[in-house]
Amino acid sequence: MSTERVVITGVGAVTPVGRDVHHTWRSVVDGVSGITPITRFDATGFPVTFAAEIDSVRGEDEASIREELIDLALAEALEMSGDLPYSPDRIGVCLGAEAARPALDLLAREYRSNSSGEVSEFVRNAADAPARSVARRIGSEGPCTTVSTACTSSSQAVGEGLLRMRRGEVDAMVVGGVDALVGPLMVTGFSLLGALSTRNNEPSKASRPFDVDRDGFVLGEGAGFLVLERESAALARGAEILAELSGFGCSCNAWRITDSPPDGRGAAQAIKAALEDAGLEPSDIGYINAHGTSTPMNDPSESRAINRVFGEHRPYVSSTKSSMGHLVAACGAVEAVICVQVVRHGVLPPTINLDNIDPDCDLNHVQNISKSFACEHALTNAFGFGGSNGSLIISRWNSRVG
Amino acid sequence: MSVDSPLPLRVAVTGIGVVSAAGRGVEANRKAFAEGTSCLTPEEGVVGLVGHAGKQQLKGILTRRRDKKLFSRAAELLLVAAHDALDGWEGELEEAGLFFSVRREPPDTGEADLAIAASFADGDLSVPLLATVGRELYPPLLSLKTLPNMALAHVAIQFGFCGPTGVTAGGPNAGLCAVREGVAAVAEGRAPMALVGGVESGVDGVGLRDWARLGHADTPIGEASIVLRLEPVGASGTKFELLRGAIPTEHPIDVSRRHWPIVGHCGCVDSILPLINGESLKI
Repeated sequence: MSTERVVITGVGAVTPVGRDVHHTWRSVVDGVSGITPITRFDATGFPVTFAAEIDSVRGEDEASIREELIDLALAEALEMSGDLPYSPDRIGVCLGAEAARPALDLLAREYRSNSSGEVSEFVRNAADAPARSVARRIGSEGPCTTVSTACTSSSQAVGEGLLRMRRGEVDAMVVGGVDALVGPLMVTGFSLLGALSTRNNEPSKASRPFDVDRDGFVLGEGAGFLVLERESAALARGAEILAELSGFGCSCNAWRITDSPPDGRGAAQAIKAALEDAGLEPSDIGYINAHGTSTPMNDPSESRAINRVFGEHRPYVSSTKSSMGHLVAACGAVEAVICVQVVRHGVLPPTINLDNIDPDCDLNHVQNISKSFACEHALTNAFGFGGSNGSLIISRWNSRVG
Repeated sequence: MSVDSPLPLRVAVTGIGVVSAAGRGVEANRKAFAEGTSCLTPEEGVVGLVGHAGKQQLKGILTRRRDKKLFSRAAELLLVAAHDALDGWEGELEEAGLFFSVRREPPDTGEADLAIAASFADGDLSVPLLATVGRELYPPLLSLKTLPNMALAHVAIQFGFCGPTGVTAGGPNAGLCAVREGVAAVAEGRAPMALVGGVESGVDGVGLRDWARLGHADTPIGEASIVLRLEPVGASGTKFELLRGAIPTEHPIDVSRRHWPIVGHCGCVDSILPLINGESLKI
């Protein structure tokens, strides 16, 4: 295993609060909400009528929205990193994604005729279609993997990319995630699970992680990408190093399909594994971008996990899902991009709508207003249905000796 | 692909669980492959033969039976294979890992059909009807049941795995990626033991329709799960060592077409099935 640092030389994001990293960052720092009434379909009559949509992307179905999101976020990340001077078989791709749902008119056609649609429909809706698309776009011939672990998908995809770099399998990795869930079938399914906020009269107040009045998460859409390289190679080609990807840990709760263990032990195990992987102590972490979904179940469980690991040391914590909703398979990557901005700019984005902190979520919150803080190491959590947990650590470049 | 830095530990296979149309267990499958016996059968309403693994006996496997209502077919097959791969394991599972591959799409076996059918008006799907009548008929747990990582989650919950995990999605390539991630986790010391493998469960209405859609209707489709237990070399009960070398790229590789006439094409599991036939596999 190589002990050389793996650095981030490009980031890209398109989110409900910004068409690129700059605008997304400005919005989360300023506490802007990207949650509005649903426009992708007529949501009248559904128990949930709002979501975190991206206005500028108007694809006809989930697969085409995914492609547009990839287009925007990948272009930004690659423009930032500059040309990657490596052999195509030494550039890998690892993305977090899920299968896309077909458009309703296509579904109707299939049901009417009880027959199969076009091959292309099947292929473009597949879970691994985004990773294949990225590989094609960048001309990658290296390992190409799709991680599908629900809300943990892209956190694990970024982590797998880090491990591949350390093993010397590749010279560069394009990692990230994409998801586009705002459709009638997903709203139906998730609302039946009782997982979504139903604050229909106040969409911008609906996502309120750690607040006593939270009532569920808000479906969102978006994409995030990071370009990973070895430090020496990045320096040799004169690339600007944005941050170091210093640690990754993952675990499984082995608890219940829908719930997190109340004591937060599985999440704590992932956080500890990431710290160990990065060679850091809990006291080294200055900021945590929490999974913070705004569900009654997740937030106290995550709070206990954080307190279990960090004890007396109370790093600042916020959940940017309060601004941009839950991007599901893309959330881990987008929130890793936020952490890159945190260590670069020394500003912590707030949890908005945090009016009354739930006593069961006793953390050092960045409450409603951003905070200036020179953060050396930021940690981001992602936890998924089924009990998958992933934690990543992003460090300010050159903040570590040796 | 070249490998610059060797992994610190060598990795052995210490247990195997497999279930396919050839039956449950390594010997049943190995025998079918060795003798070239076709295990394909006719399926009602399907042109051609399919590799159906049959009803699975979950009694004695489950520790939390109430989750059974959440099992997809993929979860059933994976639980059986995982149980068999764990046979003889007496260690802790708190740090043990799980790395599996799953079929291309979530295994929605048509449970939402009633809700969709009720949402039609004038030959088209009506969103307002879906919001009301359709929603009432929509299976409330379907969204969970069809998430790609649910089969792995059931294995974790039933057996108590708490270590590193990963679910890769895609064709045969995904199977090898999952094995490879598990090998790395054990070789790097991130997990003292890991179950790796995959599950494919396309022998249902939706699966068969998609298979036909891909233009493969003349190739028999099968369902199967194979799970390998990996430990560092030197652990007791070593069956064989896994080598590490080439890794496939995005393009599926047809390493195992020879078993198609026997158990059918089993998607992401295809690339791992040859192991039980004594074939070496570079991952």
